[in-house]
Amino acid sequence: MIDYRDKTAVITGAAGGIGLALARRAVKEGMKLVLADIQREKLNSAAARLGLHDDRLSLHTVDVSLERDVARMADEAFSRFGEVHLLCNNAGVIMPRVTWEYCAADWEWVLGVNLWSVIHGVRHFVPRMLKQESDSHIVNTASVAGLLSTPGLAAYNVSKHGVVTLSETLYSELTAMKARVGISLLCPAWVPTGIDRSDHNRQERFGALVPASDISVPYEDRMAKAVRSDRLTADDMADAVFEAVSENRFYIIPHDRIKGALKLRMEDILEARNPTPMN
Amino acid sequence: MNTRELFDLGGKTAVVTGGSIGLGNQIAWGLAEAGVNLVLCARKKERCDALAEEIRRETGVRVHSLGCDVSREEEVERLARESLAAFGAIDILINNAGISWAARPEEMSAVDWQKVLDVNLNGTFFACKHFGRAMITRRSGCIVNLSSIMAIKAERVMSAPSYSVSKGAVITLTRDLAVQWGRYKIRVNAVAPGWFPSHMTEDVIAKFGDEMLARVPMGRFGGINDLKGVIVFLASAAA
Repeated sequence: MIDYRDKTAVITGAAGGIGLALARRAVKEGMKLVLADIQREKLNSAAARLGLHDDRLSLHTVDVSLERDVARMADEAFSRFGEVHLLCNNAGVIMPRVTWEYCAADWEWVLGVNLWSVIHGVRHFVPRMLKQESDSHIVNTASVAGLLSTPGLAAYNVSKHGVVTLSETLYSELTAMKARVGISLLCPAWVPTGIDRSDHNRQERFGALVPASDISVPYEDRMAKAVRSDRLTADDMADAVFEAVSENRFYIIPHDRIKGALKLRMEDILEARNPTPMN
Repeated sequence: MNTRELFDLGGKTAVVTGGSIGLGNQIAWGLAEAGVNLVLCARKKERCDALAEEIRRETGVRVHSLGCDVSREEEVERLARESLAAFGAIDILINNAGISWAARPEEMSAVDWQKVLDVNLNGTFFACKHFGRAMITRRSGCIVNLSSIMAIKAERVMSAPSYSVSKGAVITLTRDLAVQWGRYKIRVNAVAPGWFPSHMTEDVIAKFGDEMLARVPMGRFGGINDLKGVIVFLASAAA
């Protein structure tokens, strides 16, 4: 898809971070927007700064881990704007702990928001996108954590690995049927966003976060530093996405430096070496 | 005055009650974007603080935030006193603070009935009274009261008896004040918004959204910019 003018983009996790950057870029491209986030007021605030007339904008307070919320958003998007041309399954949360210290609710939270959201998105958008006359494209925000296994991030890694393989599978299926629906996979490394404050939006049904133990605290500290430290911004991610979608390119890995670590991991597997420690 | 000058609000100061979330949030932004300095108040002052910070950063207008429960006259009196002390004069009062309580009419308790009236109606009256006094002295001022479509058209899908009543009463109060205070060159008007997605409407919209939308010609609910124009218009010399 090259001409975005007057096409409709649906973006989850749009109140900040990469989602909001995608929204800003979509506005620049002349798109109509359906934006979703669990934070209503933050989304309203951010959306109001986009300069779009209300006729070209639809906002949803959505818990993407809940199928009914995603279904409602999808139904409204199609009924209001007719077609959806760009679906960005982008909402995500992160929670550092050593693997054995996550409780069941922690797993359900991270998998719910990061993986189930993408499953719900695919189920409620793809069938209708396949029936559309126009081309459309899905962009799933995974992470380099979907391609590597960073210590202290097991739940995040599992969820993001799930998004990677789901997207790769979808790619082969859509290509095999020569569908007018394309798909791309965004794998950022660390980007300055609010993801390190994910717990502020943790849904009630998952209970309160149990504070990290002494073993897990260093992983929390490391994450807090890492999120602030990188040079590529959320806007860089959005630009990379739009460029890749125009070229119908699947893998979007803007952080070049990560490729060494990816190669090492693949070689560990191929050589049946024990995993090389990540620093 | 040419048309642009009629709509010009630059340098004015407005008080927005319930100026933190929901419609109050949009109203605050709408006025700030038109160059109006603000006093924001709500029961939860921290929410106003956060919004004030954002508005200041984005628009450069002056914003004060205060805690105030408009159902209590002494708090409204304090709000008026502190607002006037901070800004010297208040040009515009937006009575937006409001609550709702859904209940079947045959089941609604007297307490629930009354608490809605206390905030929506009494709160509006107290603010008009205490800010009105200063406006009378200045022989100038503008008040906009938030009513609701529910004051005019009963809605099958939502039963909140004292909400509709409070919003109907706000219209009558607005008319009375306009007639009584016209002699002081104070303009008093009301806005009756339809359905805007917010914390107050999310349950109804989740349950009955499709049915409600079917009756909206434009096929959508109120957006984040839809109230700005009418608020600015009513606050300005153009009204």
